[in-house]
This record gives sequence, structure tokens and C-alpha cells, in this order.
Amino acid sequence: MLEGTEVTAKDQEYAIEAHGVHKFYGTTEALAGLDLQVRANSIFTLLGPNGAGKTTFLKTILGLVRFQRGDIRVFGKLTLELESRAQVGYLPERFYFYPYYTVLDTVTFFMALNGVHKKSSSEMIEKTLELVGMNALSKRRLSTLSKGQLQRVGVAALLVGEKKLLLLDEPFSGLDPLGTKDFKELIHKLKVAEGKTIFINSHGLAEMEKIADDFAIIDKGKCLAQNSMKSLLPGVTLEDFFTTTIRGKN
Amino acid sequence: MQYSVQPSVLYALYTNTIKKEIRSKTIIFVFLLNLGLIFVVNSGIDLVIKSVEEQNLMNLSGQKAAVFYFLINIWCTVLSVIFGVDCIKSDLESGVASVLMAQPLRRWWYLLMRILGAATIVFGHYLLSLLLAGIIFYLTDGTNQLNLQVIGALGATLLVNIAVITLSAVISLSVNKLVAFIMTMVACTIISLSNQAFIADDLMYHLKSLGLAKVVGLTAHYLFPRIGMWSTFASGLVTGKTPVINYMWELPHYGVTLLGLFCLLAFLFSRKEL
Repeated sequence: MLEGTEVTAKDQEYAIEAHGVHKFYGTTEALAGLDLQVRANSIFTLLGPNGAGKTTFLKTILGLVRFQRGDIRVFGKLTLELESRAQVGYLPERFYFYPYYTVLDTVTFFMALNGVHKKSSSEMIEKTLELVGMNALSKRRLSTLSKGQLQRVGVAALLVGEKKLLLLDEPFSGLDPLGTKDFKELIHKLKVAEGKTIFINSHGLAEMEKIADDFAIIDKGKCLAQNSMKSLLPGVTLEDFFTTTIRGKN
Repeated sequence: MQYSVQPSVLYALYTNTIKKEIRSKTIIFVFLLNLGLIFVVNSGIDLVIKSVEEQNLMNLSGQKAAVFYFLINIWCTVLSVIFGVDCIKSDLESGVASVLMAQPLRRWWYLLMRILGAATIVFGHYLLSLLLAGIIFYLTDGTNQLNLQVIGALGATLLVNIAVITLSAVISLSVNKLVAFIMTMVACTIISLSNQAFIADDLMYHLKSLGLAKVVGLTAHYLFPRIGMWSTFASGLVTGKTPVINYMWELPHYGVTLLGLFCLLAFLFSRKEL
């Protein structure tokens, strides 16, 4: 599982490649030989009912959860290598950091953790906060921010780490309609203007249909379908396809 | 970016630990309690000394510093347990650990900096307590208790603090904070008592007759950093009754057992799914 870390031209086409990933919690199989590919510089969404294994898979990519069999590569590097994690940023469903930190402190801290040199830091922080729309609130403490603003700080913390792949776990959960709209625009901007690959775990089928390029549907730890959004037949919504896939399987 | 140890990353984690503890309400409460305790203990000791001397039982005025130092030491051990239990457990409970571990960091960098950060906080408290005690002594008795021996005792106390914090962090990974606090206090007491009981004789002598309590005691004495012995050593430096220590054996023993404890912490943390 740990062998063969050479990067080939083929590897570079994919941000994530997972092959036969198995993860057990005791006797429960959370991931049952999951296979998945995510194209670089795309917005990819992983869909599935509660308990399908979405968050577990996302955490295996980060090395936060160990898996028993299979392998996962990020831009060709096995996920157990630190080099692979340097390219991946993770935004949990509820971004939590010390509430007494200001926005600026938080972003500066994550920048330092990623070994970004101080010389370029202030310019980079300003640019990043501008991109996520938090420049005016840079002196505010995290405890005073709304959920949507906190999510933006979380994204800024990923961006200053110069990550190529952003993993977002249920990013729209708890956001109001305006917050959702703004966050969707931000995601689109990150892909187009910044060249990021964005992997989103979500339940929001309607939201995902509008912004994602590709999707996969998993249930009980197995990938049931993986397609481009464009491959959906005219008149068939993502919700229709999702329902048919999950119900058809059961 | 290189993936060998990076001083700037370690520094960021270290300062984050200190900032985290300084901003928590615990430290403000602990500081105020510390201040109150020093004044109460000072008045209490004066009262006892006065009443004993009035009855012509013995002259205790020379013992005041020793009693004070003993109490400060115990207080700092309690603080080490509080901050040791909290330094990693609070990150696990709040979800900060998963955000941090998703960064390109080795887990042991994080653990090491959390422990050193917590040790710095406890050590800061210790220095502050000594300073306050020194000022009180100077104002009430006109004596200067802050001498070279006290400064020498700081090093030994730091060894104790680091060991207690590491032990607390290990225990906190498996149980909740309150249980971890109680278990660590019990473990520290067992280790300290074992150190007092077994320090004088060699292992072969103790192996001659073994019972359950003795096996537990010998395990605590040989496999854990000797916090009881180093505490006694630090107190001895202040009171002028320094115990004889074989540095060539005790220092490597401390280093090896502390490293073993840290490796256990790193192993248990690596098994954690965040």
C-alpha cells in the first residue's frame, strides 16, 4: 500500500485517485473498496445519504483516519506522505478555531504552519482576505463572526497555505440563502481564478448541480456512480439521478 | 517546503500553545488563586511559628522558607497536571486537533510543542510564585530568600514539571479530563512514594522479596521519570539539605524514561482518529 510513489504524467491529471479503499470501524465497514478519481482543476462533489462514508473518505485523504486496505493518491503522492498533505486543505463542516484569535491572527498562524515565509506574508494575507471578502473584518475576533464569515476565514486559512486541493465538508450547511450564494461564488472563483481543485461533500443536490463539474454517489462505502454533470440527460436533474441510483441499488 | 523539522513551524505551534493557555479562563483563575494562597499561607505559617515559639517548643523561624517552598512545589505539580491534561485533550474535544493535523505537520511536532508550551506556562507560574514569596519575606521579615540555591532548584523543578505534563497528556488521551486529573495525581503520588522508598538501595536488594505493592512501586521507580526524587532534590537545594544524587545515573534515567513516555504519547496519539 505504501509502495510506488513515483509521479507520472498520468498521475498529474488527477487530483485524487482512490483504489479499493477499505475502512472498518470494528466490524462495520465504512468504506467497502471505494474507487474514485477526481480531475485536477475541477469542482467535484461527493454525494450520498447520511452514513454513506463521505466524511470518512474525506478524512482518509487527510490521514486523519487510517484505512486498512487500498491506496489514495493526491496529485500522485500517497496520502501518508507529508508532501501530499501540503497540497491539501481541509474545511470541516463547522470551522472551529480559538475564539479569541482575530481573523488576521488565524490566517497568519496557518500561514506559519505551512512554512510560508514571512517576507511575502502581509501582501499574501491581504490578497487572500480580499479574495474571501474578509479584509474589512481582519481585526475581528472569531467569536464575533457568523457561520458564513467563519467559513470564509477557514477558506482563507487554506489559501495562505498555498493548497492545490481544497476539501470542503458540507460547506453550505447552516448558511442562509445569501451566505450560500456568496460562498458558491467564492468556490467558483477559487477554481477559475486560482486554479484550485475543489472537492465538496454535500447533501445539497440543487446547489451542487449548479456549481460542480463532476460528481460521484456513494452508499455504504461503495461508489455507485461517477459522472460528469454534463452527462446527465436533458430533463434529468441531479436529484432524480441520485434518487434512482440510491433506490435502484437498494 | 522541506519536511524535516522546521524551527518556524515549531515556534508557531509553541507560541500558539502559550497563547491558548494564557487566553483561557483557567489561567486567570489559577493566577488569582495562587496570589491568594501565597498571602494566606504566609499568614498561616507566621501564626503557627508564633504560637510554637510562644510555648518555647522549638525555634521554627528558619523553617518558613522550607514550608513555603514545599507548598509552592506541590501547587506547581497540581498546575502541571491541570495544564498537561488540557494541552492536547482540549484540542481533541473542540475539533481544533483535526484542523491542525490536516496541515503538513508531523504529529510529534505538535505533541512536543504542546508539552513545552504547557511547561513554560507552569514554569512562569512557578517563577512568579517564588518572586511573590521573596517579596513577602522581604517585606515581613526583612530577609532575602531569593538566593543562588533557589535559582538552582528551578532546573530540577522544570524536570519535574515536564515529566508530570507528559504523563498527564498520556493519561488524558484515554479518559475524560476529570478522571485524567485524578489518575495523574494518583500516579504522581505512587511514583513519588516509590522514589522515597527505593532510592537508597539497588534493584537486586529489592528483588529479594517481592509482593504486589513492591512490584508496582519498583515499576513506578524504574520505568517512570523520578519526579519524587527531583522534587526532593529541588527542595533540598533551597533548605540546604541537598540529597546526594548520582548524576551519571539519574540524568540519563530521566532522559530515557521521559523519552519512553513521550513515545507512548506519540503512539497513542497516532492511533487516534480525528
